[in-house]
Amino acid sequence: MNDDNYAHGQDPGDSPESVVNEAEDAELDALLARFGADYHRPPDIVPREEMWHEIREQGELRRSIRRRPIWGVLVAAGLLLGVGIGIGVEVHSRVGPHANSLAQSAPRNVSQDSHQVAVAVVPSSREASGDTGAAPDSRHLQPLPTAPRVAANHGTYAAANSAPGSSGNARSQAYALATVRHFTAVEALLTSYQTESHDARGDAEMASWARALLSQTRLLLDSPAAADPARQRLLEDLELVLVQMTQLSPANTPIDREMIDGSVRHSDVITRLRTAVPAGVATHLQ
Amino acid sequence: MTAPVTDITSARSERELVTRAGSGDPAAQRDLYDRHVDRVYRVAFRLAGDDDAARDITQETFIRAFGRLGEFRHESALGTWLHSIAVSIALGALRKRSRMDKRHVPLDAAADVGANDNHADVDLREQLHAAIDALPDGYRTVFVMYEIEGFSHQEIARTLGVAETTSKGQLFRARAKLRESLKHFARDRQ
Repeated sequence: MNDDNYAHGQDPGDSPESVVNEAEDAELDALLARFGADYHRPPDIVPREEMWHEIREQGELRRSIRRRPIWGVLVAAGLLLGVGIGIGVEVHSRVGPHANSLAQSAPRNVSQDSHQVAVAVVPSSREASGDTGAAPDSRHLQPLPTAPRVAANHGTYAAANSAPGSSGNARSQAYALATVRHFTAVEALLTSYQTESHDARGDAEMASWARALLSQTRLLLDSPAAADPARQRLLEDLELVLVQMTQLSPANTPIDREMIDGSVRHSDVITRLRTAVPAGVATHLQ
Repeated sequence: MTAPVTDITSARSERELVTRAGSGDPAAQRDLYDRHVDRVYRVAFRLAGDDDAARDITQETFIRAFGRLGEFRHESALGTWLHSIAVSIALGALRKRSRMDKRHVPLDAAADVGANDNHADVDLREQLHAAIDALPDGYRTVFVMYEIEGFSHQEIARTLGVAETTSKGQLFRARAKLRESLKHFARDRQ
């Protein structure tokens, strides 16, 4: 037996097991000659245009989904940036003749209560009166017991309920800032959801966007940012809405969408988000 | 000696098309699609056995190919590369289907069809097709590509990423199983 025989399925060896019954083989060849071409015979006309249409549509959809995870990166980067800015603001506020002594005298064991901080951009009386010579730690701190409140168009962040110069102060500010950024991003998503048309591509994009924000929401829920009860409730409600939105798909029925709409309405999250992030802050944070 | 010149020109133009298609040029993508879709669809249909599955496999093949054209190194013909994607997708789909589809006829059962149902009017074609269907996917792929679609062992080897001897061995075993499967039927006919 030569290699060609082997190639055609004939036995290349001499062992009893592999001895080929040539009659059977000829029979098989005859069958194949008669009916082989009928095996799963494709149609004469290939549905080129229909398949091309699908390829274009699916390809574009997948590209948009691949692009969308950038939202996750952006949101994560935003959170990191927020934390960084918060720490940077605090460090910057310490720069001065008293910085070293303040750092040395700062209490080492900061109470967890210091995390109950809202972003408070409220001018102290000295700053308002133009007195900028005071040490940063002497500014008036405005306690904010509820959701973050921000006085727009002012660049100084102050932490409430925290000891001046404490390390927890910077951390709290950072979390508060990150939370405000996150709320802004979620508000953008919910606004888009309400205003954009619901087609297959849009649903996939929304679901992907919601997944990224859901991760950040859960991170914030597990962080000191959720120490404030009102903020925690808002984050929990957002989590519920975002979980529903991650399920968005072309297979959704109007009832599925109505459930999402109902959650948004019922928890009034958009209004609460807008209250937590007053106008102007989003721009200010960028 | 015009044929080689034509081949070189054709290869060069395909290389240019691949570059353009890889950078997202829809016209180039469509051109490549038109050149190769018929053969890809045929192989997909032969392996999958129905139009819906063949369409899915073909579409997925081109979507993946267009997304990965940047990785194509022109070490083989584009058609071979496309077929390797298509066969890979088809085998994945068939594995999934065979897990779910209890109607999948095992090889022994296919043999039994001939043994138990040896009426004079047994359809030879049905018998042969059932026996081919019952081949393990790996054997069946090589068998269909070689015996029915006319691929060479070299093409099959490149498509499947195996040695040519492996392709030949698979074909040999496929034919042996078919002979075994059809033996009862052939005996009854004599």
